[in-house]
Amino acid sequence: MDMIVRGAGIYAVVWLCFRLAGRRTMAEMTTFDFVLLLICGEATQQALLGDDFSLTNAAILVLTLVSMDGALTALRVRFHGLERVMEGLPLVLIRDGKMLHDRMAKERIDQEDILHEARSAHGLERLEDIKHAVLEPSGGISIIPRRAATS
Amino acid sequence: MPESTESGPQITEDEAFQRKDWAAQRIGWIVFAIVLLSAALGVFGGGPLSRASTGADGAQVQYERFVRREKPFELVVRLDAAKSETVAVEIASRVLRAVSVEGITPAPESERSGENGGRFEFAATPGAPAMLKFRLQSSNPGLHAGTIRVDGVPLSFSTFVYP
Repeated sequence: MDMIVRGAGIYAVVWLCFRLAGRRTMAEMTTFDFVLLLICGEATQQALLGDDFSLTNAAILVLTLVSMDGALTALRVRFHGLERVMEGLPLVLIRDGKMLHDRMAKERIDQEDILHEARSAHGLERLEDIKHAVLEPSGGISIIPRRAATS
Repeated sequence: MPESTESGPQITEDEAFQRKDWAAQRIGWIVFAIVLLSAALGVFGGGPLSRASTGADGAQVQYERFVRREKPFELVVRLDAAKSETVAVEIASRVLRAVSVEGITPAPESERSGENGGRFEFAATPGAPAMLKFRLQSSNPGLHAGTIRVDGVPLSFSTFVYP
C-alpha cells in the first residue's frame, strides 16, 4: 500500500509543480530547463523506491504510475472541461504579423524565442516572414509562415 | 470560441480562462516561495523552528519537533548533576515502536526492557553533568508523542515525522 501511495503522491506533486511553473519550463529551450528535467528524475528516484530495491516494488511502482497516467487520460477524454485545466489552452502570440507583447510577457517568451523557433522549424529569416505564432499547451511554439516556405 | 481564419489561426481561445490560468500560476509561485521559506526555517525538519527542548529538575531533553522519514536525527539528554554512578534513561515503549535507535554516545553499560519501556544505564560521575546522545530514525510518518525518564524525571516530547 505504501508504495502505491508514494508513487501516486510523487506523480501528483511533480505534475502540480510543473503545471504551475508555466509552459515554458517544459519546453527544454535553455540549458537551465534541460538540467532541471535531468535532476528532477534523480531527486525523486530515492523517494519512490525508499529502501526497497526489490523487483516487486519496482514493478508495482511502474504499474501505479502507468495506471495514473491512463486514468488521467481517460478522465480528460470523458470530461472536456478537464483538458484545459490540466493542459492549458493554446495561446496566439503573433497574430497577422503583430506581436501581442502582454501575452508574451505573461508567458515569459521574448522575440528571440519566437525567431529561434521560426529558424529551426521553417528556415524563416525575419520577423516579417511570420504570419501567426501560437504557444501550444506543450510549451512549444508553432509558427505559421507568411508565404509557403521556400527550399 | 474559434477564431475566424481572417484574423488568426483557427484555435479555441478563451481569454477569461487564460487569465485564471495565469492567476493560478501566480498563486502557485507564491505557495512555492512560502514552502521554501518554511523548509529553510525548519518546518519540514532540520532548522531553527524544528529544534526544541524540554526540561525539569536538572534534567533536559533536546529533540526535533519535525523530522523526515528515514532521516537520522539526534535526541540529546542532559543532566546537571548525576545523582549516582549510574544514570538511567528510560524511553517509553510507544516511542521505541515509532523510532529505531541507530546509535548511542557514549555507549550504555546495559540495555534492558523495563516497565517504563527500554531502560538504558550509563556510567556517570556523581555530581558531575552528563550528556547522552541518541541517534534515532523513524520509518513511521505521523505524530509521535512519548515520555523519556532521565534518572526518574519524566519529560514529554512529541515529534512529527513527515512521509
